[in-house]
Formats: sequence, C-alpha cells, structure tokens
Amino acid sequence: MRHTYGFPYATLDNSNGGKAKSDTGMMAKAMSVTPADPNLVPKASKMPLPSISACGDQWMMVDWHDHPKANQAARSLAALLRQEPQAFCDEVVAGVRTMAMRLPETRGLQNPNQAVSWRDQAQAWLSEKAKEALCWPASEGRLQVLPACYEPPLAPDLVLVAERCGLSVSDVIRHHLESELVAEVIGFMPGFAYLGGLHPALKLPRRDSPRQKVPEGSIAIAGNQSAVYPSPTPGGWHLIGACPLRLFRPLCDPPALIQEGDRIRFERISLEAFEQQWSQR
Amino acid sequence: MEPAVKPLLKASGPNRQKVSEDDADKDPEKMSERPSVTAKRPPNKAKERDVANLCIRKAGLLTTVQDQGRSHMAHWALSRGGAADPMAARLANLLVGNRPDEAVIEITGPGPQIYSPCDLWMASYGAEHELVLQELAGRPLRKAMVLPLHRPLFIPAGSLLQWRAPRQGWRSWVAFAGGLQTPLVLGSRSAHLAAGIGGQRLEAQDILALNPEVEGISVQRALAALGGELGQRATGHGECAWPRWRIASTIPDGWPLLDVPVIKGRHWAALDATEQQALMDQVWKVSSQSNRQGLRLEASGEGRPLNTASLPQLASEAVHLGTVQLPPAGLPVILMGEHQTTGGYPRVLEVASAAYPMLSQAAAGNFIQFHLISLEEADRMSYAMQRLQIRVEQALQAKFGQSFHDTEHRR
Repeated sequence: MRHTYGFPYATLDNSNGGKAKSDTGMMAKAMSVTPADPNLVPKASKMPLPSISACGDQWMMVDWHDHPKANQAARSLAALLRQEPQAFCDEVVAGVRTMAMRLPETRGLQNPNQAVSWRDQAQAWLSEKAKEALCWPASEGRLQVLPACYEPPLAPDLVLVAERCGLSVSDVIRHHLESELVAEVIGFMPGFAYLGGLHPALKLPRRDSPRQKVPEGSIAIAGNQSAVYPSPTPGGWHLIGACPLRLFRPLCDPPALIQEGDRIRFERISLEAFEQQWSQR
Repeated sequence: MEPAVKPLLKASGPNRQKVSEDDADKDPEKMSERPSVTAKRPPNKAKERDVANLCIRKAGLLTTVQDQGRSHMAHWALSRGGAADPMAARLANLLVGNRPDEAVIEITGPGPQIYSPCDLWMASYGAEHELVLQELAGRPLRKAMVLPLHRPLFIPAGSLLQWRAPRQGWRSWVAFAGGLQTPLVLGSRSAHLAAGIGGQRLEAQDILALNPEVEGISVQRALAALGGELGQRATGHGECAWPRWRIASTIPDGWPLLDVPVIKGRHWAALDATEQQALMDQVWKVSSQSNRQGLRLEASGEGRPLNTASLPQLASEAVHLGTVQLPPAGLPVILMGEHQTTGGYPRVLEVASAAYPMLSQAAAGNFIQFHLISLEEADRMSYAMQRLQIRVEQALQAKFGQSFHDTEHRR
C-alpha cells in the first residue's frame, strides 16, 4: 500500500496484544520459550528504518522511530527542503524523531489528481532522502551564548534540583553551563526551543504538578533537555535560572532568537547584570 | 459527500437592487421605522466623519481582528491562526470589493456593538447572526432595524450596529470597504490569542482604524453596486441600502450536529478495535473549554471517554489544523487554527481539509460525529470545495468589475 497510516513501532510492540508497559514481561516470556529464535528478539533492538505516511490530506510525515540519529536526520532533511525547495513541498516542521511536510495549497488546481501526484513525488523523494539523511554529517549549527542568571530569586527550583540529583547547587550550575546544548525542536510556543544534550547528572522527570504560571525568561530543565520560556505560560519543568534576552521578537526578522539546530551555551551573569539587561530588552 | 460549505450566488441583476424601505413595505411592523430610516444626515457631521475609525461600544463574547493569518511560520512554533474560516473571510472581503486577504472582524457567538462615525460599505458573512441597526445617522431608532447578512450593506455615518447571538452557526466575518488598518505583525493583522501576537481580543472603548479613504471608497462602491437612483439616495441622504442578492451562508447541513469527515490518523491502528468503534459511533459534544486553539470534545448521552491504555507514549511531533488528538483522559481534541505547532498526544484522526470551515461554526454544546473517508475521497472533496470557492469568488469579482480588486497577491 502506497500510503500507510499505521504506527509501525506501536503495532509491532503490541502485535501480541501486549501493552507498552508489559514489553519487558513479553520479552522475558519470549526469551524463556525459545531464546534462540531470532524472530522473537524485540524489533526495537534493530536499527529502525524511516517510514513515510500521509497525515491528513495536507501533510506527510517522515518518522525515524527510535533511531539514535532520528532528530539529527529530521533537522537535516528539513534544512535541505528549505534550502532546495521542491514543487511538492510548501512547508516543513521537524519534530523530535519526525519531520512533517505540507503539500502545496490546493487552491487554483486545474487537475483533481494533483494532490495524488504530489504525494507520489514526495513519497519517492522522501523515502530516498530519509534514509540518506541518517548518514549525513551533523551540520555545525550556529553557536549562541545566552546570558543566564542562577541567583535565588530567579531560580525557585535550583535547591530542589540539587537535592534530587545529589549535587551541590554550584555543581548543578556548573553542569548546566558545561552542557553542549542543541536546539532539537522548535515548538510549544513561539520562540520556545527544546535544547537537547543536558548534562546527564541533571536528568530529572518533570515536576509532579505543573506551575500555573512560569515567568517569562525562566531557564528550565526536564529529562535530558533544557529550555528558556519566551513568555509566561503554565509549565512543568524545573526552573533553575533566568535569561534576560527576548526570545521572540515579532517585529524582527527572523523573529526567533533560537533557530532549529543552533548550538546553545549558557554564560553566567550576576543579578545586577541580569536586571540591567532585562530593563534594556 | 457534498463539500462542507456551499456558498452559491443567489444572483439577480444589478437592476433588481432596492432600498431598504421596499422590504419594509412588505412588513407592516416595519412601517413605523420609515421616518427614522430615512433620517437626513445632520450637517455638522463632517468633522467627526474625518476620523476613519470604528468605535467598539461593547465587545461581545469574543471579537477579534483576523485576516488570512501567518502561514509558513510553524517552524518558529507559530501556527497560522487567522480567520477561523479563511475562505469565508475572503468572501466577506469580496462582497465589499476588497482584496480577499484584507483584515476583517471575526465575531464569535453573541457579538459586539460597533459605532461608525463614517459611511461604510460593509458585509457580515458566516453565521446567521442577528445584525441590528440601533442608531441611524446619529439618531436612536425607536425600534431596532434588522439588517440582512451575506451581502454588502451601505451604512451611513453615525450608525450603531449590534450583532446579537447567531440563530445558526457560531462565527461571522465582517469586512469593510478599504479594509481595517490595524498594525501588521509578521505580515498579518490577525490576533493570535494563544501566542499573544498581533493584538488582543477587542474590548469596549477600543478604536479600530479603517482605511483613511473609507468614505470615498464606500460611496464609490455603493454607487456602482446599487446603481444610480438607489445609490444616490443612500449615499446622499444617509439611508441604509443593500442589493437584493446575497451569497449562501456557510452553516453546515445538520447544524448543530456536525458530520465531520475524517481520515485515519497515524496512531489509529494502535487504538483497540472497540475504542476505534466507540470513537466513530459516539456523538461527541463540543465542550465549553473549546477556543481558537482547539475544540475539546466530551462524551454525550450514552457516550463515554475512550480507553487509551493501548496508545503509545510519543515524542513531540508536528501537529496541524484538523489533527484529532487523544490525550490519556480519552476525550478527543480537534486542533484549530491557533494550535500549538508540536504535540505529544496520539493522533487518532485527521479532519479532511474540506471540513475545516465546518469546524469554525461549532459552538459549545454543539455535537460532532466523525465519519471515516479515504484519502482519495478527502482529495476529491478538497478539490470540489476549492473549485466552488473559486467560482463564487470569480462571480463576485465579475459582479463588481475588476476595478475594485487589485490583482490577488500573496504576502
């Protein structure tokens, strides 16, 4: 079938009626029966191949599943489509392990089968490039250094994070400053970048209950990611500091300070410096 | 499957256009209004009329300025937003001779009260709002006069208009000749409420800038569209006037029960068969928590939330207008124009693009039932819908002559 709607990984994982959480149980059972049978080795251990599917009648989606280089491939392919526009593609948005592509507007079409033809062209082009993208070297993103103030009034969760990680507050700050972060996905709200590559010592699940209002400029961590909140919003990440820069400026071009693939490093500033920069933004 | 919207010209020649009193003649109740309807324009109005502004007296439930939105910005995490039904906003503009992408006022549910110190050539298109004239040429009307929808109207300076709750549908788009001149942000005048970009919801006392030439443009277009005698009377003596024809509204068949065509989503297959069936068989109710970001659905009647235990945990991926997400609570959410650009909930369905306009007319308490179609059917519906839209647009352009419309351009 040309257009697949399924979710191959979920389907494979659940093919025996098992739920996601029972995977290990299933695996153990399978192994105990015929450990030598290669078909019973969990599929996730193989390198997944990218799959392409229609996503509604306007979009198509490339999914690299659990491939370790999925995000890099998604960003590379999105960058290529922006640099070298293709007739069948109007817009691309990269996700954590996926890339979505919009077909051109159907307005003004003379041919009722134009959408089908675009989808076929996209399918052929994407299936080739999606595999190749896994082998493309990581593009050296623009390095951006963002000022960060970790002083207590701006870092309500810093002490808690240190406790839960078993570190001192200064170690938490040092690990955050040393993290080589990459803007993996732009999403959630204008100017918000999910920065991957957080130091493993800082890995924590999200807060149990999200804050009703995270202040603008807050620097937050959760899982292996960090982020700066461009405007006030509810949020469940741990707040360990604040950045005085405006991350989204609708009147500038480009409007977003951080773009997909940028390398981000934080640089520590004092509370005085923060307040001065904040007042000038 | 018919396209979701069937705007058709109920055309008649320009000769058949008549002034408002002719309609009133047929309705004895309206006879008493005649003296005030034809009120002479006070001579000292000129100064106030120099100001090309609309004054918002009452805001209504949710009134915003919208145009075709900000496309191609999803990679900055900014969804397109714009008019909840961009095609209806285009038609509203074409009704008054504007370029289709001019800014309009989007009215949601019970609408605003707006005072205009200048002559207007305007049109209210979309839902079956009750549009009433409360003051004419600076004088209160003893009995408010109901104005017709879905066609251009000449409204003289000093008029007070009120959009009461719609009898059918939920949103209307109101276009003014010459367009609104509110500030452009990222190439659009749309208020993106979720992102806080490009203006807020309108409040009482707000002033909206019209085209500085609005009076000249309005009079010129009214004269051309209404013909000599009627046009002269309306523009010269401060009367309301409109043509006899109108275009069909966008209210979907069956409203308030919307039959929404959908395609299977990426995670449909991961949903248990019984839950798939429940999703398709149940009649869902639109929750009062719905907004321009999304339509939240709740179980209605014998319905129930779905069991989502079989659905996978996902990494964030791009989501779109019309994506139907199924969060763990088991109640589907249909994403609307101001959606977040990425999401991590399983997407079980995608609404066919031809049905997007239908979603814009769904109010809290309305009902939604999904029906599955194939991708090929969705393509056919989309094509049919676009052809129809273009036919209506071309008919409107032909009616008013090309001189009113700059050649269409994309921002």
